[in-house]
Amino acid sequence: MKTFELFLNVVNIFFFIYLLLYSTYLFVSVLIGANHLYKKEQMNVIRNQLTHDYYLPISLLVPAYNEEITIVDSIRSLVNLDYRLYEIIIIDDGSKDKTVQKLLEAFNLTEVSRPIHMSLSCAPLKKIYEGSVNHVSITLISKENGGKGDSLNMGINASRFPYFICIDADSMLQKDALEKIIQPVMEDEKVIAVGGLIRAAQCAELKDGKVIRYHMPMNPIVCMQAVEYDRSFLASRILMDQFNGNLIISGAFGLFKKDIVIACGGYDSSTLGEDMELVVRLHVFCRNNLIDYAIRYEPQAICWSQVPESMKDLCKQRRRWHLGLFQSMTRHYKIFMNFKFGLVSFISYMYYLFFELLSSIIEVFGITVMILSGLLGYLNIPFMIEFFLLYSIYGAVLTMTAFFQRIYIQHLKLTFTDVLKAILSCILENVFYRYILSFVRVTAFIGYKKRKHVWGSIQRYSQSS
Amino acid sequence: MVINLLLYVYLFSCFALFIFNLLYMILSSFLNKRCHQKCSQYETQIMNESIYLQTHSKLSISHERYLLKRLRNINDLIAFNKALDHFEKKSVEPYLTQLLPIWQQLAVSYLKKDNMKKAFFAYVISKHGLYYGKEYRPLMQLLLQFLDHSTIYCRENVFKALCTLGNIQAVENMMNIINDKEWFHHQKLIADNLSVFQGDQELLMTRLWQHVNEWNDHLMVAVVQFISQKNGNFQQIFLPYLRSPQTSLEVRLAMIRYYRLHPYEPVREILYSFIDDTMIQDVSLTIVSAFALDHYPGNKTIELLKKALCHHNWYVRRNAAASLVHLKVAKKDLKDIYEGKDPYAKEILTYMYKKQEV
Repeated sequence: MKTFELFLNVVNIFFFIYLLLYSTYLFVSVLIGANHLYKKEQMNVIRNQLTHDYYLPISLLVPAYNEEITIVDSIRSLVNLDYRLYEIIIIDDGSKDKTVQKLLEAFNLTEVSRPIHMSLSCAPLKKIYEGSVNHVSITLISKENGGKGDSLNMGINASRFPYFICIDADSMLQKDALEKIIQPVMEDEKVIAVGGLIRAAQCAELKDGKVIRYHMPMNPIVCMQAVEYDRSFLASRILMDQFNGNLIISGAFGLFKKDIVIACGGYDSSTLGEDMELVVRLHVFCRNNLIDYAIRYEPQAICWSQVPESMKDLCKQRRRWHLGLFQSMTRHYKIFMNFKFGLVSFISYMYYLFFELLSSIIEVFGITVMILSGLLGYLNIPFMIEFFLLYSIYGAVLTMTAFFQRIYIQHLKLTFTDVLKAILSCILENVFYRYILSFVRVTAFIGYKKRKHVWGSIQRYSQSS
Repeated sequence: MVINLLLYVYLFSCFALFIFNLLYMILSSFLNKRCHQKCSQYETQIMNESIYLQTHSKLSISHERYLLKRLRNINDLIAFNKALDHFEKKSVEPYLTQLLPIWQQLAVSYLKKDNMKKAFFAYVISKHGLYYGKEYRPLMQLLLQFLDHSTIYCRENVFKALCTLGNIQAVENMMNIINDKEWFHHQKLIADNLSVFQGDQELLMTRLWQHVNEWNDHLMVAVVQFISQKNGNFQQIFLPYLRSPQTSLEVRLAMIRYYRLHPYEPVREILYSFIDDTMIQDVSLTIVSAFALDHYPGNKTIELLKKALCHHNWYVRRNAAASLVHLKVAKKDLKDIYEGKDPYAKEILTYMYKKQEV
């Protein structure tokens, strides 16, 4: 029994430190995020901006796999952006549905025999189609199935401009998204990649790239993801941006400098988290080659992306993300406790390792110890309930802060019902949702070998009603 | 006990943050409403003063005093800027002309403020300032002083303001400072700002070009880009620099693009030498020359472009094919390529011609 008591003491101290660190991180990140956004808002009001008629040309890469429901709407939203010079390259990764046919019909594309400079290796090309809408050149590349990373590599090969943006086929950009995402590049020549802000598309109605209505949908799974996205994008990414430490640029919307991506080998098609893996590799590549670089996050560049609407799809998506995280972290394990990587190693990598990758295992371990302690009569149940409630309230209030600040900064309006729904979602997200996701992440490795190269497919819904 | 205490401390901080956010939002919306009211007041005053100026040569003393007192506050300056936005610049030109001494005095007070406010003051000048003649005025010197420990936004807005004011010496000084301090200011931004310079643009070009041996490549590329947008009279001046391997590569590439926009016969041979793969040179010169040669028609051009179709570099091949299409070379004259052994050359040429037909 003494040994068990000693074990419990050690576990107590561990969890005390673990939760203290996480709570501090969460608080500091929301605080810095809030401060950053208010400063940005003030800068916009007093015109501390780089506003020009024309910036740098950009290639938009849209990889698609079985996206017949959303692809036409997405591309239509992309041809009406407030940006002078850009091209759209859609890469169909051997879809089994009518993705290609839908695009050919909607945009009157014609088949061409365009040679492509294969700087990065990818699965064989089948056909290329070209056309243009609103003076925006559209290229549709049909290729053999090879995964999302492989499709993006094909897109990079076919792109004509020095910067490219990857966008999910179910995403829609706000009208000024390109103008905003290129700003960090105009400010600093060292910038090699910029991440944009991702928000849940189901919450917004867009007309001509402008949000005409924002609401909290009836589906609680979507609502919880909406508040979760706002917290993570507001807080964590802005904090890590302060020391060039972002390890993730979402595959749904990110800008990259083409030559450096090619130099470091492009997207890794053998990983599930090709977006994170590329960013981590860019850090490693630049540090190893003594390249002075910056990876930035631009919260004013907004992309509306569809989030899963069912628990099944959500679990599928999060399993993929977790496996992707695992692959990226293990592949680049040399960053761990490595002084060469500075804060990227000691804050970013550590955060992702202990509070993202291992958090699910730690949480499940904690629950197991709790049950065991309960059975052996060591559990102080009133304290446990009090602790759980306080911790959940803490998380919920921080999530609310992040969510409502985002609503305010973007000048969005919510009805009273939506406010209630948002508050409820913040509470549910902290009381249930995150624990369900922890369980999903623990089980992510079941069937890992089978799934590690396949596209994650979730149920899509058409944006046009 | 310690855990409990910590929990409540964290929870308190968290609620404090939430309350702070709420208060901030309430205060901001209050300030917005105030700004709107002030804006209407300023609009009325501007209209009244414009009428007053029809019979007087200067602004009324009371209005001058009012502006000098109020516009030191950033919120008032925001409202004043918004009020001016509501008028067409031409319709309030006499009023704007009279603002120069006020801007000068305000610049002194904004010099002591933080970078964000300085940047906004410079923005207002860039938007509502005028070309006040060739004279180098104290306002310009004060704006240049804004650059000490400045942010990129402050620099950008000061640059825009100086271009609006249209004094060559001031712009030259600004670029000298950027060069000396080794600041990064994107060449695209510089070239765009220069292109809206309100003074004598021809003279500005000549003066800026004189710094070719002093300023860094970045600035000089911006200068060449600015000249390219506006003027074809630098053909002779650029030629020796294009020829010289001592000139930086980026500047030479910008010059080749200039010669594409403003063709100049003596440069033809230089472009030929760049596209000739027997010469040892940076491949970027070959790539851009293949692109520029579409404005230099001739048999030798066609021969060299045909040869470039088989170049080892993909971009040279693509630009050569595009140039052949632009030069409207008949397909029968390209028979040797179509029937040749280089499948890549054939492929790119076929694609370019088909694209042209579509």
